[in-house]
Amino acid sequence: MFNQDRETQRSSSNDIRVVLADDHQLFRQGLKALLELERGITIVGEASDGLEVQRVSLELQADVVLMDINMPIVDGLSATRELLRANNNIGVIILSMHHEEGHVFQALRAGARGYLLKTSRVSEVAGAVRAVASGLSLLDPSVTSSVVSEFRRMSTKQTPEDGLGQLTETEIKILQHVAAGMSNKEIASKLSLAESTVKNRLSVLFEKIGVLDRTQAAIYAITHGIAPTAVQSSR
Amino acid sequence: MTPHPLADRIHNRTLQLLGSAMLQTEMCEQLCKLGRHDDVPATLVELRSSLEQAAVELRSIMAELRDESLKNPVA
Repeated sequence: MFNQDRETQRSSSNDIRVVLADDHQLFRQGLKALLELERGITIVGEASDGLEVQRVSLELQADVVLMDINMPIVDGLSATRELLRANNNIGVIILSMHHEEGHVFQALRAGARGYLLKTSRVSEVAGAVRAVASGLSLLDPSVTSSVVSEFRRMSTKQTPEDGLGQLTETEIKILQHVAAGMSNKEIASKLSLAESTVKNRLSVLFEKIGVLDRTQAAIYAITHGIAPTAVQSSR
Repeated sequence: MTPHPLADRIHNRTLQLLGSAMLQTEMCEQLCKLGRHDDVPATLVELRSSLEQAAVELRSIMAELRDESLKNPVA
C-alpha cells in the first residue's frame, strides 16, 4: 500500500515524515495530494487498516501519523495504543468524522496528541501535523468545549471523592453522627471524646471534604452513602 | 452501545464521500492558486462523482427509513 521508494526520494531530510492511515482510498488520495503541496511535510507511507499502519509507521520512521478511527482488522484507537507502545516518539493525530466526545476521550487515553475532524481544511491538518511534530497537542475547536466540560465535571467530582478517601475512621464516624443530627456534645459522648476534640476534628473534616458547615457535611454524608440508617435511627 | 446500522452506513459511506468532496473543492482552490487551471475540470468531475455517490447513498437510506416507518407507524 505504501510507496516507499518514490516518497523517500522526494522527501528532504528536514521534512516531517507523515503516514496516512484510512481505509477510504478516495479520502486518502485527496488528502495526500493536498498535503504534498504543503512545505516541510512529506507523505512517506499509507495504510488502509490498523495493523498495516503500525508496520508502515515503524518501518518508515514516521514522525506523525494521521489516523482514522474506523478501520478494518484493528481500529485506529487500538492501533494508536499499540504503535505508541512500540515507539512513543511518534505523534498520532486522529482524523475522523466522529465528533462525539466519547471518541475524543478514548483517543486521548490511547495517547493521541491531536484530534481533528475530517471536515477540517487541509491547512488546519498541516498546522496540526507541524504542531504535533514539534511536541505540541492540538484539538479541533468543535471538540474542545466538550473536553473542557468533561475536565470541569471531573474536577468538581474529584474533590469530594478525594476528601472522602482522606477521612480517618473516627472522622467518618463523626460525619455519620453529624448526618444523624447529633450535636458536638452528643457525638463526644457517643465516641468517648472531649467535646473540644470533636469540634477540632469537625473543622479538619470540613476542609477535607470541601464543605462549610454541618448542614453541608450532612448532605455530603447522605449523598455519598456514608450516613447509614442505623446511625440516623439511633438517636 | 452498538450504533444503528443506518448510522454506520451514514458514517462509513455518506460522510466519507462528503469528506472526499470537501478535499476535492480544496484541490480546485489550490490548482487555481498554482495557475494549474487545466487540471481543474478533471478535479471537478471527481467532485461531482463524489457528490452523486453521496446523493445515491442518502436516497437509499431514506428509502430504508420509509420502509421502517411503514413497518412501525407512529400511533
